[in-house]
Amino acid sequence: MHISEGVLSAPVLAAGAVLSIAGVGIGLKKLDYEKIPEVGVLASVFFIASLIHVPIGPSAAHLVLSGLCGLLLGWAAFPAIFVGLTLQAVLFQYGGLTALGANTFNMAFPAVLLGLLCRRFLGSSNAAVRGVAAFIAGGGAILLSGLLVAASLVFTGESFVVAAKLTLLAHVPVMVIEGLLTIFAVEFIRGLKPEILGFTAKIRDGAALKNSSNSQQGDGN
Amino acid sequence: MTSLIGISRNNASLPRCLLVACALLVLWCGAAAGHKVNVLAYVEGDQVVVEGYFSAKAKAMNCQVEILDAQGTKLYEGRTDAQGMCRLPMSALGKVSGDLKIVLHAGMGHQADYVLRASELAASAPAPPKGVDKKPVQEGSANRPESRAPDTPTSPSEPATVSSAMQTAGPGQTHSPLAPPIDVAALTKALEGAIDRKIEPLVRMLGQQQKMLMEQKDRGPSLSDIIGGVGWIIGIVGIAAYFRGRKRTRM
Repeated sequence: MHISEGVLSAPVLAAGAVLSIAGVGIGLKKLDYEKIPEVGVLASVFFIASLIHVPIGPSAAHLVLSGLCGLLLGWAAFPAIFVGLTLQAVLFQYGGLTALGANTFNMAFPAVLLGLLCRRFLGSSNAAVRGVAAFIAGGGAILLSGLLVAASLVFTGESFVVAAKLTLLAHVPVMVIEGLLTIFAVEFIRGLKPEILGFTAKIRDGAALKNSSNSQQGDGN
Repeated sequence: MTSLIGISRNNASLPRCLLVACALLVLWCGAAAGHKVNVLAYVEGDQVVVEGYFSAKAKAMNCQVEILDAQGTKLYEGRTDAQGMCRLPMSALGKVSGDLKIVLHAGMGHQADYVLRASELAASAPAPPKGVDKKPVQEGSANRPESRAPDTPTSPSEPATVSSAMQTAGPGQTHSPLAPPIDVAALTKALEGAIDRKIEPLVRMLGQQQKMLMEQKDRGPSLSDIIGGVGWIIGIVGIAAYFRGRKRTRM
C-alpha cells in the first residue's frame, strides 16, 4: 500500500501533496480540543498496525486500519494518518518522504469518505446494521485505497490492468480482516465508551435501557 | 452476526475476548517483519545473482528485475524465481564499464535498487587490462609471465601505448639475464591477474559480510523504533493540545 520513493512521476506526487495538504488542513480546522487525544491514539494505532503482516501472495500486505480511523475521526483522520505515515517513512522506511503526499491522500481520503458515510449507521440499535456499516468502512477503505494506488501508478505509466489486479488481489485478505477488526473495534468502543462514536445522546438513550440491567448486575458483583 | 450480538450483550467478557483476539493476531503475524522490499546483487563466478526479498522469510517472487548501466540504459530485463533469485550470465550484459544499477519492481509501487560496483564485477571476472592486448586473461598467464614476455612486443597488434623502452629491450631480454626486466605491460598484466585471483576470496567474503549486514539492517523495525514513534505521536498530541488549549482559554 505504501508507494516507494521514486516510483511516481512528479505531477502525481504534486497532486497528491496538494490534496493531502488540503485534507490535513480541513482535518485540523475541524479538530476539537476534546478530540485531540483520540486522534493521537488512532494515529498510534495506524502507525503500529503496519507492523502486523498478513502473509499472502507475491507481495507483503499488512494491516492499515485506515477505515477505523475514518470512522472514528472523520476529517481528523487526515492529520492522524499523515502523522502515522510520516513516522513510518522516517522510522521504518515504509514508503518515502517524497511520496508522503500521495500516500496520505490514497489512504486517508477513502477512510474519511467511507467513515463519514457509514458513521450515521453506527447509532443503529440493530447490530447487523452496525456490523455491515463497520465492515464496509473498514474493508471498503482498503478497496478504495487500493484503487487509488493503482490509479497513481497508471498516471505514472504502469498498465492499469496489471496494477489494479495486483493491488486488488493482494488486498482481498486484508480487506476481510480489516472489515472484521473494524466491527470488533466498533462494538468494543460502543460498549465501553459510546461517546467516541459521536452518538452520545442516541446511544445513551438506547443503551441506558439496555445497560441498566447489566450495570445492576455489575454492582451486585 | 449472532455470535457478535452474543458478545456485545455480555459486556464483561468482550474486552477479554478482544484482548485474546489481538494477542493471537499479533503472535500469528509477529514472525514476519519488514514490509520494505530489498534487493541485493553479487557476482558468483561468471554469473550475476540478484536477490529480492521483503524479509528473511518473504522472498520477492516473480518480480521484474532490470539492470541498467551507469548511463541508465537498460542492459537486461528478467524476473525473479520462486526463491526470489534471478541469475544471469555476465555475458548477457555485454561489455560493461562502470557501475551497474539493479532495480527490482515488486508491483504496487514497491521498488528497490542496488548498485553493483564496477570493482565487484571486475574482481570476479577480470577484464583484460587496456592497452596491452585484446585477449582475455588466460588461466595460466599469471603463473608464467616470463614465457609471455617475449611474445608481447612482437605481436602485430601492438598498441601505441606500450613504452618504446620495452620495444627495444623486450626481444633481447631472455638472452641477456643481466638486462633489467622492463616489460612493464606484461608484468602489470601478470601482477593484476595474480592479485585478482588472490583477493577474490576476500572480495567474496566482504560481499557476504555486506549481505549479512544489510539483512541485519533490514530485519524490520526494532522495538525502540516502535516505541519512539508512539512517543512522537504523544508529543505531537501534547503540542496540539497546548495550542488548542491556549486558543480555548483566550476565547
